[in-house]
Amino acid sequence: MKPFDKKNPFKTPEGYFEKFDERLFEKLSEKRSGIPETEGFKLPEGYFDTLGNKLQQKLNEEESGKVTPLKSYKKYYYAIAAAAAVLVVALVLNLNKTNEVDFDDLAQADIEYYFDQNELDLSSYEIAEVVPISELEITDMFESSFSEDYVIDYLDENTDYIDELNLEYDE
Amino acid sequence: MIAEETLVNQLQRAETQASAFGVLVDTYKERLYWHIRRIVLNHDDTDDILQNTFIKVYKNISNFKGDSKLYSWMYRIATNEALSFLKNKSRMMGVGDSELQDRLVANLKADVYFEGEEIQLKLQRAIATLPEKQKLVFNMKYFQELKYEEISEILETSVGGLKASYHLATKKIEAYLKEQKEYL
Repeated sequence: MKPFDKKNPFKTPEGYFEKFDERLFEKLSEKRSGIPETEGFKLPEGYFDTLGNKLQQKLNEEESGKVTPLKSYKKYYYAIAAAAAVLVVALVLNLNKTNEVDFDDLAQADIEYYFDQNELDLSSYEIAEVVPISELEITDMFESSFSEDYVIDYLDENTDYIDELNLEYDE
Repeated sequence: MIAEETLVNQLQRAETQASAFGVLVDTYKERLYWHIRRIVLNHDDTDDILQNTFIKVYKNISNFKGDSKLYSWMYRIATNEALSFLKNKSRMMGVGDSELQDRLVANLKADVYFEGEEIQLKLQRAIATLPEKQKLVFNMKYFQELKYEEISEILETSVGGLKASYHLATKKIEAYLKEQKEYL
């Protein structure tokens, strides 16, 4: 069987691809029906008629402003600026020193009072995440103290498996 | 109209500078005004920026080498002046660029030099959502009807990039206006 002739039988007008981008973008840049063609901006009456004079006046002011003898005082400005900067830095450092209040400055009673008065809405899990368990004693949880023997007796009678206690043994 | 090259020569010569400057202002004041106004929206700010632009042109005309056209050089100065003005304004107000754009458009409602209706306000709101470059290209092409080649020289960007920016900008504006219409 004779293989298909791979020659493309279709043709395009001359220069079609060269001009394609141009025509495409021309079409894209046509004014869109959905976009208004006016913007609503207005001008004061006679604005453009007076602009030339205003500009000339401004230019004259700028030209005459050039001779203002500020230069001779320049060195004093630097000195004043430097002194002011030192003063500001000193003040800022001083203020920072006196205003710093850290957690240790709060009396324990104040902290307890705050916790008593405010509903923190923390679950026991959330509290467990921030309270260091290793520094807690079992007696911290109870208002009345009881002997260790009593605790051991209680656990003996009420715990089926010793593993449930998750005890850590020192090696 | 006086040829640009002649005008530049006259501006660079002391004896003809003043009269040539008058011609320059007359020739370009309206075009530059509208270019700036579309960036900063408010008339008084536009007036200040326009005057500063011409003063910069006057002071720096001796440095103009003619590498680009005079009008594109002036447009570039006007664009830079307007954008720096907005940057300073947002810094002074302590707000970001998009917040500033929202406020500028919101101020149009009470602006005595704005008599647009709701559709024109929506158009400004839509333009305000565009990135800076797309905003410039859209205004320069859609309202000022500058050619891509001219915009390319002013913004120093390739014509292909500008066409893509303009296409994206019009799509976004159309989508914004359509969305607003549907909500009504």
